[in-house]
Amino acid sequence: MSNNTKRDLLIAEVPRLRRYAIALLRDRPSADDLVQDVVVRALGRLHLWREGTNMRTWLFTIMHNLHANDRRRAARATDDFPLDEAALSQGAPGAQESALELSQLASAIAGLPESQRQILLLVGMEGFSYADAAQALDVPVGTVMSRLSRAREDLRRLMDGESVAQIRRVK
Amino acid sequence: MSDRRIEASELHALVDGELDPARQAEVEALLARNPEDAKRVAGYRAQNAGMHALFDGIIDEDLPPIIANELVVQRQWPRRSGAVAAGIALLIAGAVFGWVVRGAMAPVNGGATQIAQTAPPIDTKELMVRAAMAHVVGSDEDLHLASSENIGDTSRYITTRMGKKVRVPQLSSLGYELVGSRVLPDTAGPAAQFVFEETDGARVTLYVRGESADGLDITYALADDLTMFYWNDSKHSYALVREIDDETGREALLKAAKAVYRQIAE
Repeated sequence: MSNNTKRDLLIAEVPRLRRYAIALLRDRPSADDLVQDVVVRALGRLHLWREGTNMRTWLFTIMHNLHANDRRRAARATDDFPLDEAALSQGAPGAQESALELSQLASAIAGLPESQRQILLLVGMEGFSYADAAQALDVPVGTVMSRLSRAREDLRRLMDGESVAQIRRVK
Repeated sequence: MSDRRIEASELHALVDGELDPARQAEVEALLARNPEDAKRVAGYRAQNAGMHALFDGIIDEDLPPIIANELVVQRQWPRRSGAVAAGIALLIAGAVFGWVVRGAMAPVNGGATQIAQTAPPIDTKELMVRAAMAHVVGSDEDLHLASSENIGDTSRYITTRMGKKVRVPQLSSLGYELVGSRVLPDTAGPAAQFVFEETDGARVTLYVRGESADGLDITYALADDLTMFYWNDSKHSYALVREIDDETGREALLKAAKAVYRQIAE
C-alpha cells in the first residue's frame, strides 16, 4: 500500500475522530486541538501503521494516549464541569419532545466520569467492539464491560430524573 | 438446552453485537418473556440512537483550518520557485497599478465587469501571487487527475482535503476540460486549484482560496505574461488564470469566469 493510500485512509477518519473528541471533551477548541495533534502524530508515524490492522483503532489509540498526556500535564480537570451547549451538533432533532430528551441525554453524558464516557462513546456511538475499545484505551476487556454497564445504568437513571448524588449513594 | 437466565452483561452484549449467534437467538427469545430486561435493552439502544442524534452532525461539518491544513500534502516547490515567486510578486505589484489604469480606460465588457474603486475586501495581492505561482510552477505529478465521468470524485477529493465543501465548476460547454485538481497550503487555510485544458492544450487554472468577504465583482488583472480574472463570494476568493492571449482570448476567459461565478458562488 502506498503512502498516499494510507494517507487517504487516515484522512477519511478525521471527521469521526472529531465527532468523538467533541463529544468527549464537550469543548470544540480543545477537541480540535486534540484532533490536530492526532493528525500530526499519525501522519508522522504513518510508516509504523501495519497494513491489515484497523486504521480507526490505531487513530483512536493515538488520540487516547495524547489526551491522557494532556490531562496529566494539566491540573487535574474535574469531570463535572458544565456541558458546553455549543459543543452539541447543530443538527436539530425533529420533535420538541425529543429535543428535550436529547438535551437531558447530553447533560447526563456530560455528568459521567470521563473513563465511562470514553467507553460509552466508543462502543455506543463509534461501534467499536469490546476488544477494539480495550485496545484503544489500553485496558482489559473486562474493564470495558464493567465501565460500559455502569455508564449505561447511570444514564438510564439520570434520564429518569435521579440525581448523580443519589446514584453515587446507591453504589 | 438453553440457559433460561440472562446475565446483565448479556443485555449489553446483545445491544453491542457481541453475543455469538446461537446465544443471541436464545437471549432474544428470553427477552420476549421478560419485559423488564426488554425495557433495559430498548433503553440502551435509545441511548445509542441519542448519541448519534446529538453528535452525527459533526461528521458533515467543515474541518477547521488548523486540522485541514495538516492534511494538505506539504509539497516541495521546484527549486526555482523562490525566484519565480519573487518575480511574480514584483510583476503583480506592477499589475495592480496596471489594471486600474487599463480598466479605467477600457473597462472589460461594459458594466458587467467593474473596476474596484475602493480598497478591495480581500487580500487581492496575496490571491494573485498565490494563484499565479500555482499556475506557473504546478506540476502534473501531484495533480489529482479528474475524469469527466466522475466529477463527484474530484469534489470528494477536494472537499476532504480542504475540510469544507467546494463545488467543482464545469466548463466543458465552453471548451475547457477539467484535467485535475490539487490542494495547496495557503495562509488562509488549504486552497484548491482546478486545472482545465483547452482543446489546443493550453492550461487554464482556477485558484480557490478560503478567504471570505462579500462584494468583489469579477476584476481583470494582468501580470507579465499571465492574464487573470478574480472575484470573491461569502466563502472563498477565486482567480482564473491563463497565459496571456489576444483580445479574443481574454473575452473567452471572462466568459469562463462568469460561468464559474454563476456555478459555484456561495
